[in-house]
Amino acid sequence: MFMKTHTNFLAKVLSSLLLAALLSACDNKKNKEVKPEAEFFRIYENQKYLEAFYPTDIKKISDGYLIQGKRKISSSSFYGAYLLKVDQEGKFVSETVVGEQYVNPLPGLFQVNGVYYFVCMDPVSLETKIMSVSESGEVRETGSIAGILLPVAASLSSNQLLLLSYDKEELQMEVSLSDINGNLSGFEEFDIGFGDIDIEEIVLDHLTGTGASLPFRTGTMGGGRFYYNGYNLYNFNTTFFTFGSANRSALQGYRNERFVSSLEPMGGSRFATVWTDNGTHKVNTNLSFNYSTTGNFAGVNTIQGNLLLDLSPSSLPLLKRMAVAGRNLLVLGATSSTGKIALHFYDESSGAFVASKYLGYSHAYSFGNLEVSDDGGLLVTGSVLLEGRFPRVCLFKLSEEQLKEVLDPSED
Amino acid sequence: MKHTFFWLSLFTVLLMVQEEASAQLRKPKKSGNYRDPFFDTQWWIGLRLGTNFTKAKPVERYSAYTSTQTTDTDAFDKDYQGFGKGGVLGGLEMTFYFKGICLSFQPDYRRQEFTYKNYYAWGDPANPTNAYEISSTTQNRLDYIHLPLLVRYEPLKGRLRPYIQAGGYYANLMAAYKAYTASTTDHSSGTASTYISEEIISGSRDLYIRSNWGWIAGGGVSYPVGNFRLAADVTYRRNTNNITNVANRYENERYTGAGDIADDIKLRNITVSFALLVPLRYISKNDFNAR
Repeated sequence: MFMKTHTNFLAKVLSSLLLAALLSACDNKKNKEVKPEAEFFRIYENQKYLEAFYPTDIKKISDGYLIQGKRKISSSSFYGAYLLKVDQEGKFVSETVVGEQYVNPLPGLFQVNGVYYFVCMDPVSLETKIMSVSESGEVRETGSIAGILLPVAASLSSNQLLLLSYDKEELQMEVSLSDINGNLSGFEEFDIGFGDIDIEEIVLDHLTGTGASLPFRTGTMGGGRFYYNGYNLYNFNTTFFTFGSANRSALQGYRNERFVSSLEPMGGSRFATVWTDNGTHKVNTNLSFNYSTTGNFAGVNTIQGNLLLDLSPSSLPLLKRMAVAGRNLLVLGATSSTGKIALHFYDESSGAFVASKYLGYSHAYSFGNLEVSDDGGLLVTGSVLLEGRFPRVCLFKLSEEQLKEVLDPSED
Repeated sequence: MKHTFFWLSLFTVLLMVQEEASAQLRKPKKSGNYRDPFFDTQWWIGLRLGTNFTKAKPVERYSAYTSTQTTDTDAFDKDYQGFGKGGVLGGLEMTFYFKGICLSFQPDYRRQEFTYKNYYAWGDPANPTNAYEISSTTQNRLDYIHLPLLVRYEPLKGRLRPYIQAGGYYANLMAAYKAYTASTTDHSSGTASTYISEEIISGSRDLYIRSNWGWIAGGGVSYPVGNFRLAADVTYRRNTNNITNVANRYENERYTGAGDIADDIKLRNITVSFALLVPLRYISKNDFNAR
């Protein structure tokens, strides 16, 4: 009888403990379900005192991500080129420090027939160079465009490179369409004209990082229509054009004080845009502008929009259409006034603001670029100024779950 | 919700213990001593106090800093300090003794502490004054309710009873704190100058999951003191699940910004404790002496 009582008691204790353990052990199961590649934060550090790295683009590759960047070099005032390969978890795989005979890497890694390319420049002749990058990070020159000097922007247009360059002799901006070997199939010149500000100095300061950064960009509208963001008639304009035609239209800025910072065509005559007026940014995700109408010129100052007071005056915001967290979004990435990376999310179809998120703490961060991941997450690369003195590449990966919490907190 | 279940379960256990103890106290008193065959079956209850020393064992390492030097891939790994600063514990012991074999339940509230260090340095071989170093120390304090269940073997029946014991435990995290201190040495002025550059002290409950379980092995000795029995033992506790909350690894921006990202860890613990036990069936003043 005595033993039976005690056995019953012990059985009760054990079963209650087991129950407590089972009920509380759900977190352990959940812990094991989190994949290390779902979310991460990395700073790529080489512990070298005098080196500085600034990422400009990131692309998803078969076994991880390829980050394009620029770095300070000693042999030239221009930046050198730098590539970083990381795995799915953001862990370092390899880096390629491109030789100093290639400088001024333009933001953008462009995939053509399975190979990535970027555009840079010869530091002496200032000629445009086209470089290929294998997925292992190996870099080699595939083309050179002798007549195109001082390239300032590049984009991909139907497997060709749409280049923007500055011609200091003719005081022109030039847009060229080139294949990956440097063979031109299109060329258009745009006069800058004369005035009381030194455009050449502004362009060189932009390229060497000694002055203000300007949003030089090119883009393709379809139907043979293209645009470039750069100087025209002494102002920093967004000029729409067709190669070999005088059919032009533009969103006109004012000198280097007021300009479109980022433009994302949304279909038809709708654009999402951020423009900057003396360091103050505004956004309009439903701008209507008939870019195909010859002679349609509209002043940037006439665009209505919402103030982005959280952004740093020197930041160059970037708008991108992206499918993340199961939604089609328009993502605005920029550097905030508080030294963080600012992300603003807008609904792609309506243009309505959805949510914001800021990344970075302790150090000063600056925005680089964005990429989607295969698992519905978002990659954000930028530069982090460690200890206020060591600029390094950093990479944030926001998981799909994290983004869903940001985009719709009520579902949490 | 998990908290509620946990407390309800614990309350149920304690209620049952209380009921069992009351039942024991109501039973008729017996006379005799510990060599009486009647004492082959006995309940002991008492208080247990002690200290414990913890070391964290990294299972998978994480850091915000990732070295791009292929020859030095572990440059930013945390350096875990071994069984350093002790934490206190206090709790109860309920032991059922049967012919030299005991089943012992020893719930306690304990603080476990572990520490790791990091070192970052930037240099320039061409110029020694181009040097900058950061040494950081991170102290972690975890408050747990431990629920260990041990099987104990007492081979001798004399006054001094050595024993060995082994078992398992489940622990529930109640609170966690973290203190990060960074010390910087800047050589850029030509003279090395060291100063505290950053201090972060905060709760870190979200960085860990609630559950912690593992196995226990150890030994000790007990000795009668008046009507009580004083026990002293040392146990080694090996946590077998990763206690880091993987989903929240990057959520605490203050630590993430400082480069401090939690590794997947399992705890190793050495517990030194003392128990003062009283026999439940002979708690009467006249006829029992625990010798």
